[in-house]
Amino acid sequence: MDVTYYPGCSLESSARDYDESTRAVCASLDIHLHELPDWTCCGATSAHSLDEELALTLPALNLSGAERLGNHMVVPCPLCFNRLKRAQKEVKSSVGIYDLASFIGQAEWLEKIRSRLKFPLDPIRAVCYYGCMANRPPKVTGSVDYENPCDMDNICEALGVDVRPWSYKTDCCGASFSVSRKDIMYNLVKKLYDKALEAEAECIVVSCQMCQANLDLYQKDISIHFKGNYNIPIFYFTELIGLALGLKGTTTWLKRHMVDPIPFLEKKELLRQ
Amino acid sequence: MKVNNDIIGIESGFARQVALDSGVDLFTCYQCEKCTNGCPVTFAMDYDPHQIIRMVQLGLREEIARASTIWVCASCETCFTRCPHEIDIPKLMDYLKQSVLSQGDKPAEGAVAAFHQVFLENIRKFGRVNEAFLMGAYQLKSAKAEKRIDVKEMISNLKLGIAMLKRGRLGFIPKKTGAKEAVRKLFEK
Repeated sequence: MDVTYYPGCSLESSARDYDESTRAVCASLDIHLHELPDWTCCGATSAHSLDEELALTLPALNLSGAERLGNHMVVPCPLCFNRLKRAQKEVKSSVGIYDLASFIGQAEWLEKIRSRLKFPLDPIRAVCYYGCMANRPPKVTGSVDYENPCDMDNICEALGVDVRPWSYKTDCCGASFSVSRKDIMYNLVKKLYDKALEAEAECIVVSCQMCQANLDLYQKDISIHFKGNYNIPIFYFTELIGLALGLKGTTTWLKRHMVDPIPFLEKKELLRQ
Repeated sequence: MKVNNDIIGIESGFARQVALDSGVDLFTCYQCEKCTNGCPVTFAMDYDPHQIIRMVQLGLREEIARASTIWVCASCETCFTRCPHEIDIPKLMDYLKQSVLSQGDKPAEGAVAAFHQVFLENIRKFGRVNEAFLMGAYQLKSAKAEKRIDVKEMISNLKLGIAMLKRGRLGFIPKKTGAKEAVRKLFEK
């Protein structure tokens, strides 16, 4: 299947592991990603906060190019997905826009994943953390299960992961405050860690790179701040797919994390590269 | 019983103006507090979300202009998703932020406003956000806005930057997009 790929600004730097793992996973599932030529920033949080017009025109700028390519557009960053969807609805563009996790969570790809599974991940106990933007508001995202999304849960279950239920799947990580009001983000993320551990999870699986950054990059600082000792690997669901399908490059992506997942995976005898 | 004898200014017409300008129909709010109950950041707010709506309804423009709440809203959309009247509260918060700035008032959260301004300027310059440049510009601007340099914070960010660079997660060279000029045009009013 040919799809248009809109990576978003973070995936070119701080979320390089997400970009690399997404490309590898899609290639292995015969999803041919065509990066949208000359794509530009969706405006993220700052545009809608300060400038109503830019909040629309920035993402809308990408839509005519996507329409020309004619395929569905797949977006790994849920914030970009959200902004692009709003623009699409506003200008009535014909492009089908999909959040990556929801896209890969479809039956067709789950089936393919199951059929290509090489190394089941059943020693891993995890919770799936979706964040805000992939599902809210349902008027924009089209999400049906916005209080209890299951796409990543289904993907992880297909990989054999022991997925734990928990009530914090879509609780905010404080994304936009990791720079300007770190204290707010620390509080929100600490709660997520505690609730994940309460659900007996050893790691957290994410589909948003802003969430991954907040849960991964600052884990040591948050531990020190709250006098705790968190050591919770934060995986992109695409990285787990890579691990389970034995995709080349998996260790490269994993080594980019701040909270080193390698010892965790070695103990579980899940690293074969 | 403590009685508050402060004189509070009430602007008639304010609520109607906000509703018309923002497109948010806030008159249907009957203070069920579902928004506040689902909001993840009330711990950092001076007024709860439902209180802000009430304040708009009552015309308390000055109080709202001084509020931290509108800046500390995380735009998580939980309130809008759950409001029985589907009042677009995040949109209202955005409108109120923009009003503060357009009226030349000082934002209660200078660092938050500075971050957004720097972010937009980064997009205008590069067409895509360059995270390294963004952090540098933000450090400068927030120091100016808060009138102090948080040395501890700067060192912490520097350490983080180096750790990310080591892991290949920090790009210094702005990525090229052919539509950079088109983006710049969008910023011209």
